Amino acid sequence: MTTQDLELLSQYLDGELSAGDVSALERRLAQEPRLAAELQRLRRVDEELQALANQPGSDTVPPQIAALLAPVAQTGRVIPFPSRRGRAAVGFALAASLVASVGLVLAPQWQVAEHGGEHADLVAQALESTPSSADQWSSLADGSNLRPVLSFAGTDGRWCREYQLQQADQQWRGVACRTDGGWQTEIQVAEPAELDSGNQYLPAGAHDVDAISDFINRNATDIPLSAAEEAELIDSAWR
Amino acid sequence: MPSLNSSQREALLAELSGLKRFCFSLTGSQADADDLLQATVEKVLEKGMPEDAHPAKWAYRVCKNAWIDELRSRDVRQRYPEQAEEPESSPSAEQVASQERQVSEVGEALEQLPTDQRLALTLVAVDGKSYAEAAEILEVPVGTIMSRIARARKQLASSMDLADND
Repeated sequence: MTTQDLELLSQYLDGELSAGDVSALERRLAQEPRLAAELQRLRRVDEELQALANQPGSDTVPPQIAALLAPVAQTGRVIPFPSRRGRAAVGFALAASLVASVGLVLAPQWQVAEHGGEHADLVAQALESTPSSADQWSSLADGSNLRPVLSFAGTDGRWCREYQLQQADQQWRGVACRTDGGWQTEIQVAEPAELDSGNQYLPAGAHDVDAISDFINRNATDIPLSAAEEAELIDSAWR
Repeated sequence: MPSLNSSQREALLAELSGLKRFCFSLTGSQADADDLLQATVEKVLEKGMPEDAHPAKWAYRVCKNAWIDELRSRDVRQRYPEQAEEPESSPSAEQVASQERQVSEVGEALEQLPTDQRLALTLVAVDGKSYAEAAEILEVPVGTIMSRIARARKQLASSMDLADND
């Protein structure tokens, strides 16, 4: 079998030959048993390959991977600031446990914001005014929970916050940075909060969400802000 | 800005099943395929995508690069096992991956193929991409795709001990 014939047969299997070349090859196949046998041999390779690739589960996408692409699309890229009037009402030293009730009060006036809906507004409020916490979740008015994890100065001069977000039975971790127009979600990935790590397979990065760590390592100018530094920024509306 | 617009996200979501099958064909195990798919999606989200890029082709290209990175990483781990960093979760993940590895004749034969041939063959013979699409994803001329696929098929047929009429 010459290389030229091998490539011809391969192109034939892949539907890459012109109609004229197909006719010419099929005439040869009818007259050359060795060529026809080689075609069958290569065809069996393809059948085995496809059987391997199409076995059950081979195209099943784990929900946590599909979720990586969903959440930001739902929340919008830019989370608008809550109104200054609203933020003043929240106050500097607001305890995380009070965020839920304040959010309930303030949410209606934010629903008219141009970008995003009520959920985005509530997230913005929490990012704007809630101190970072190692274990304290803030309940938002729409039933979701948000926990700012840390704050840092970005290399581009913006203030950024890593956060965790829970909604329904899903959980995400992300980083948002403060722009003139609102909190810009820079990266957000799903976290397998519901998985039992003792028995179930966890995909790479499921525990530490490498993409988030990488993002912070690349974009943070320094170590995260201290609690006092962060509190001062929250009080001064991140100025 | 490293982000995807909504249409790019939707296009990528629609492509995930095919991308997963591509990952499975490359890695040969469900666990490794899930790892590779996740790495691909995370890289696309992290690095973003040009507005004029074709989302599916872009994602396949990122996937291809992620897989090559993984192969290089495995090679380093095999050559320098005592120096390789061991992520906390890797022992259990690798054990599970090993248990789930699909042992089959064609799978073993695939693993013996040169990386370039395996990528080209998988894109065309499994995923149904045209030579032009595969060439765009792998960033090589169409003629190179054609010759890689032909050589890959020939080697697979020989490895699988299919009747040779030569």
